[in-house]
Parts: sequence; C-alpha cells; structure tokens
Amino acid sequence: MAATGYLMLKALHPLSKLLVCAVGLAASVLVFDARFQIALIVLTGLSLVVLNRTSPLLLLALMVPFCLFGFGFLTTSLLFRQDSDFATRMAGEAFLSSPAFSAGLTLFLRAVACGIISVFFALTTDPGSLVRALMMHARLPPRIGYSLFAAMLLVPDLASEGQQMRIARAMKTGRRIRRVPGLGEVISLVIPLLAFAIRRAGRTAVALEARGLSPDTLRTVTNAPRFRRSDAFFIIAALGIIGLCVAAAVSDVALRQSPSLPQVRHAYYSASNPDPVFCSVQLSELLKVFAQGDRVTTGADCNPSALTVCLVCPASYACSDRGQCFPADLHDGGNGSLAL
Amino acid sequence: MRSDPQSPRTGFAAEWHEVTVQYPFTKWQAVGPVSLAVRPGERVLLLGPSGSGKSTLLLTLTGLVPNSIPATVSGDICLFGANVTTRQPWAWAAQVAQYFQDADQTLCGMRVEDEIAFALENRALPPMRIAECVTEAMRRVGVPESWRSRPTSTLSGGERQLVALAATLVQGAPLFVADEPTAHLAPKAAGRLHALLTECDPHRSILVVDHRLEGLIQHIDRVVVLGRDGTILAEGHPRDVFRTKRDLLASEGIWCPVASALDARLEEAGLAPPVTPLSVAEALAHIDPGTAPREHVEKALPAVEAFVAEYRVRSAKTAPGAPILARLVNADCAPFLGPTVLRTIDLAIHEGEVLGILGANGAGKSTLGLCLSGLLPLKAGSRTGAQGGYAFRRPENQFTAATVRDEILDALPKRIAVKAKAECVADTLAAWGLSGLESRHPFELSQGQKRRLALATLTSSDRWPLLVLDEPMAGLDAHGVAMLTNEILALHDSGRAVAVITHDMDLTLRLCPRSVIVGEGGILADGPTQELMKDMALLRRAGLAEPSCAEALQWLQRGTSC
Repeated sequence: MAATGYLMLKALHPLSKLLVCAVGLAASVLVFDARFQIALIVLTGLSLVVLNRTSPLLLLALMVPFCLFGFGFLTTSLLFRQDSDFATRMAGEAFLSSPAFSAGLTLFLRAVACGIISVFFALTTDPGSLVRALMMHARLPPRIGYSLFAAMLLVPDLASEGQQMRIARAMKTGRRIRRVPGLGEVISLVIPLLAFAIRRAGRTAVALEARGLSPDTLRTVTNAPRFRRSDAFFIIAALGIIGLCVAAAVSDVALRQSPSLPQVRHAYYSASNPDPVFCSVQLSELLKVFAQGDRVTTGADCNPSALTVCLVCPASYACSDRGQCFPADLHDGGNGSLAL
Repeated sequence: MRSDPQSPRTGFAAEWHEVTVQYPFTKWQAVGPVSLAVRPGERVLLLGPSGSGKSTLLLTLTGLVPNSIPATVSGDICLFGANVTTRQPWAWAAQVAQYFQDADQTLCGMRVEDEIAFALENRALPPMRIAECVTEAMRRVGVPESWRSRPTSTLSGGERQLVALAATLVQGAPLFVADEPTAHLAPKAAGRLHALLTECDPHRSILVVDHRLEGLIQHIDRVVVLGRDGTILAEGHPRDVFRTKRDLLASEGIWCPVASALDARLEEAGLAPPVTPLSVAEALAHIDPGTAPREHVEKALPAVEAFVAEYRVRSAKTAPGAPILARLVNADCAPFLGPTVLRTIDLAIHEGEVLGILGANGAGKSTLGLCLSGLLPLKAGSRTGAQGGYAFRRPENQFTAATVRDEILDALPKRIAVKAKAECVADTLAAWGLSGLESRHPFELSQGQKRRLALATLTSSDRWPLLVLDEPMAGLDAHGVAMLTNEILALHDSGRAVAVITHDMDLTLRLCPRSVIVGEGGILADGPTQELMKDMALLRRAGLAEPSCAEALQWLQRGTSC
C-alpha cells in the first residue's frame, strides 16, 4: 500500500501538484485560524511520511528554516504589538490566551504550513518533469526551460567546484580543509564561483545553440508527464480536504458570531467620555471571544486610547459580571454587577 | 595554403576560404588565413600544436564564432554550398553535429535520455522516432540502460563525455565535427568512440581534432596540419604526411602515430616498410619472424629493441626499504557530497616513488587520488603520512591570484625575503617555460601553460613531498607532454613521490614502475606496471587496453626465439 502511494505521489503530474499546492498556500495565507494551519501541517506531513516514505527526521530538518522564519513572526507579534506591555506582564494561562500570542502563533503556524506545502512539492516532483510540463502545457518558452535545466546542473557543479577551490586553497595555506567553510572563506569563493558560473553559462548557451535550440520554431517535447485519472482523483481529494478545512474554520467563526450566543460587545470608556459606549464586535479585531462571565478584551478599533481588559479597569471604573468596565458611579452598591 | 583548390566549391560539405579569426583585445590572429575543404563522405583529421586555433576553426563552421562568441572573422565559410552566414548557428544543427572538447559544452543539465533526445526534439521529430533514435544511440555508444534516467550531473567526467557523444551522434548529421573527443576517455571507451566515428558511411563527413591517433588514423582519408601561426603546414593522406613531414611535425610538437617512430627506426636500418605504416602491426608486417628472411629479422631486431626501449620505465624503481610516505588503511573513499565509490582500500606510496593510478571512466581514480593526498576526508578507515599536493584535472581550480607571478608568490613560504622570492619566481617560471607570462592572468594562458603553472605552484616550495597529478597530459600536444614527462622525472629525481592518474597506457609504462588498477569499487590490481600491462584479462576487465608497444614486444619475443 505504501509502495503504491510512494509511486503515486511521484507519478502524479507536476502541474496537478502545483495546482493543489498553490491552492493550499493561498488558503493558508487567507484563513487566519491556527487550527486550520495545524490541520494543513498535519495532513501534508502525514501524506509525505506515509505516501512518500519521507523520513520524519528529514521532514523535521527541512522544516527548521520555516520554523525559524515563523518564530520571527511570533516574537515580533509578542514584543511589538501595541498591547505588548500588558501582554508581557501577564503570566501563565493569561499570557497564552493573550491576543498577541494568539496572533503570533497563527502567523508562526502559517509560515510552517507554507513551508511544508513547499517541501511536499519539492520532495515529490522531479524538476525536469516540471519544466517539461510547463513547456508542454503552460507555454513556457524552451529558452527559459532549458536555462532552468542548465541552472539545475550548475548547482551541484558549483558545490563541486567550490570544494575543489577550497582544497586548492587549503593546499596553498598548508592548513587542513575545514568540514564547514567559515564566513570569510565563503566570501572569498564568491568571485571565483561567479566567474565559473559565467563561463559555464556561456558554454551552455553555445551548446544549446549548436544542438539546434531556436527561439521560435516548433519543437517536440518528449518525456513530458501526462495527466492521468490519478491526477483527477488527487486534485479532487486534496482540494476537497482543503475546502472542508476552510469551511470548518469559517463556520466556527461564524458560529461564535451568532446572535444566539450571549451578547458579546465591547464596552469602552475614556476620561472624556465616561458613559459606557458599546460597539459591535469586529471579527478581524476579535482575538478571542468569551462566553458570559468571561473577561472581555476590547478591540483596538473600538477605542485604542481606552484599550484595556476589564479586570484592570481604569481608575474610577468598575467591572461588571460580564467582565466589562463601567464608571464606578454607575456601580450598584459595589457588588460589581451592571445590567448591560 | 589551400586545400584541394581544383574541386568545385559547391561539392564540399564544408569549406573555409581565406578565413582569419581574431578575438577581441588580442593582437594576433587566432586562426589563419586558412583555406580548407571537406568533401562529402571524407574523414579529415585536423592536427596542430596547442594554441594553433583548431577549436576556433571548428567553431566558425556554423557561425558560433562570431555570432555567439565575439570575434572578427574574415573570409568565406560555406556549408554544403551555402554561405554559413545565411542562417543562424542553430539552423545548421540538422547538417552539422558538433562534439566539443569539454562534455559540459555539449550537455545542458537534463537526464541522460533527455540530453540525447534534445537535438531531435529541436527538429520537431515525432516522439516515437526520437525514442527509437535515443535507444539506438545509447546502444551504439555503450551508454548503459541503467543511466537512462540519471541526471548528467551525477556522472563522472568520462561518463559525461560518453553521453555527450551519444547526444551528438544521434543527430545523424551529414557532417560530424569532433574536438578532442577522447581527451578524458579510458582506452576501451576511446576505442569504441573511434570505431563509431569512423564506421563506414559514404554520406557522412567527419572532421576531427584529436591527439590520440592510435585506432583512429587508419580510418582517416586526409590529415590537415595547422602550424603555430594558425596556417596550414601540411596536408594529405596520412601515409604521405607521417613519412614525408615526420621531422616537421616532430619539430612543431605535433602528435604522430606511434608507428611513425618505429617506421623511422626501420628506415634507418634499411628496412622501411613498403608503405608508411599507421600501426605497429603494419610496420612489422613485412618482417614477420615467421615468414620474413632471417637476416631481415636480425637486422630489424636492434631497431625494434630501440623502439621498445622508448616505452621502458624511465624512473628508477623504488628501493625495497624506502619509507612509506602516505598510506590508506581499510579506507572507504567518497567524492564530495557523493556516495562511497571505493571500499576497503589499502594503498601505500613510498618516498621517491612514481605510482600510476589507472582505471575506467568513473572508477574512482580522482577520489582515490584526493584521499591518498589527504585532501578528502575518508568515509571510513584511516590515512597516515604526509599531506600531499594535488594537481586538478582542470587547472583553473587551483588559481587564486590575478597574475602568473602572484600565483607563484602565493605558493612560496612566507619567511623568504622579498628579493629571494623574486629570484625564486623568475627561476620557477623559467624552469616551467612560463617566462614572459608573469603579468598575464592565469585564465588567459593556453591549456598546456595552465597545467605547467599549476605544477609550478605545487613544486616551487618543498611543502609537498607527495604530489598527485590528475590526468596531467590530457589535451596537451607532443611538446607539452614531453616537457611534463621530463618535469615529473625531475620531481622523482628530487626524491618526491608522485602519483599519476591517467588513461594513457604508454605514459604509465614510461613513467611508473608500479601501478594500481582501480575498478569494481576497489583496487583490482597493484604491482609492477610492465606485469600488469601483460595481463590482458585484467586490462579488459578494467576497461583498459594494452600499450602501443605491445605488438612490438610480442614481435621481439618471437624474433629472438627463432
């Protein structure tokens, strides 16, 4: 079964995988929901491990750069949001449920989701087949297509040339070659490798021309991958799963916005406007929706100057049972209740 | 000088008429003026010393020079009666198949079967026809089916050359142009390539530049020799040129068939073959010990012995008790970022030894050389001994300075005084024939000069008691090889150990008292070179061939036993 899957993923048409991955990336960017991103990550990772026999360790190693990238979003969100001072003062559960952390976590997961989708495409697609498919079905000009082939050949050759240069330098300096080159060594190799790449590019251009590659004449593309039924099945199944995940995420948000739930409104106050003012909850601003009795976090667009969390109401304000601030002079005897 | 001036121009497959080529920023013409023609079905060999403009001349044929490589070209160049300028270079691909000196100039980075199919795809042939042609080309060249889906980037240099040949042959063009096609091929693969090039096809013309003449020259219709100034020195049938112009060719440093030297010795002995021989067998046919008069055989014996002596090992054998300079013990060797190609290698090189490393293309000779020199970490096992210096197959990889002088200066020990350094640089350049090139950028030198500079940087100080030379003679003319041979012998005399990685069996026989044959993931044999060269089964197994003088040796054995 696994062997069949292994064959299936590799044998799928590169453009069908490209389509599914593009949709997955778009959904990952557009749906700002941590659970959706987690679903994408888990499903993609599982399909690679189970169907492509990708080593989980390799997968984890490949995800390290994306995790680091996403971690940047997380820390930026925590440290540089407007309410970060408050967020960093919070501790424990309150910290984890803070809007800054929640937003940062979603951004982090989004980066990882995008990364694992890219890795899925790279690990299951032969670059040569992709270029041929693009030339065949997407009208990619052969000159560009074969330039890509040449570039693919250049990458390992650059590594090999660079290694030979390192050996030559090690010989000259009389030092043993280091397993990993230092920064200075890498910089000193840039110009010679660039010169090598330019020479190679010139030779490749001559080779392509000598073998008849023309800019405009009709040509055959052999060994281009063909669309099969399995591609249709893959596209339908993959897009269906992504669609279901999107639908689940969107409906969950909509459910929370439903009027049948306890009324959730933001109350805000300011010194110049001590009367309680209510504004509708904006989905894009609502970082966490609370049930009745929970503490409510006000949205930034409601009144940034009065941004607060109810339990830490401004001076001369009290907190209602619903966790909303109200002027203390409206307080009904100091028991903290107010009919809103 | 003009080739065959009586023939009508329209009857030629290719023709250069008073052609000169000059590259930008140079003071001299790279080629010409040259007038040369190739008839349909004719097989022409173009010879000349390094830097005589052979490759440039071939590149002008379809207009790659000056269309893709800037240069000033004068004169007329015609292909099949049409001026070459009437089409773009790519439009000549159906008529002219070009095989370049470096396989990387032919390959574009695809899988093997896609590389071979590329030229036919460009001609918009039906996919079924392309598939048939690809399979046939792979079979003819000997590209294994298992390579079909491999990216060319995973092949060794020699393997890439085979694929490049298949990719060129598959074009089925009426004119096949090859620039040093066997430069990096093992003897077996080179023999197969020569057979493919020269197989009888009355509709296909061949124009080939090659230094390796054995197995090729018998099938050549005409030899054209370019001089150092880029003009034609001599031309004619090989049997005429290699006898009448023998001394001229030798003085110009141009390769001649091995049989030419034997022909000269037999001529001195008054036993010249009735026709100029192109192989050792031909040279000795008229004095076969079984059929020729005994006095003729006895008269020829000194001449043949003198010829064979030229191939005897010139460097003295290492003393039995010579200390080991470097040793690999139970070593697994792998190229950079590559899989292990050699396992459980036990190899030692002694002080003052010249060791030959032989093997088929892709056998792992370069990897073994790098591991032996201590420059490539082992996957398993251990290495002991002094660090070695390595002369790469592509000498450009060794150059890090902007001038030839700075390259030598960088290689000198830091503690030497400035004045002494200047003297040392001058002496080194003079010793390696590089005087006058001090201010040139290393990349501007000819291939032979680059090789000499690479070796000069390795030998200018005493830092490297062991030197590993990777195919040091590839692409060099006869002068260059003679000079390098003497330099290697001088290194040996100075007490250094030298390991020579090569496909040249004659060179190995001359230079290396001991050799190892690499193949099948390990060392197939290790022993005296002369003994290894007699083991035909071993040579065949390793994709090698017996040296050129083998037939003369056999003749000597029969001649002396009679």
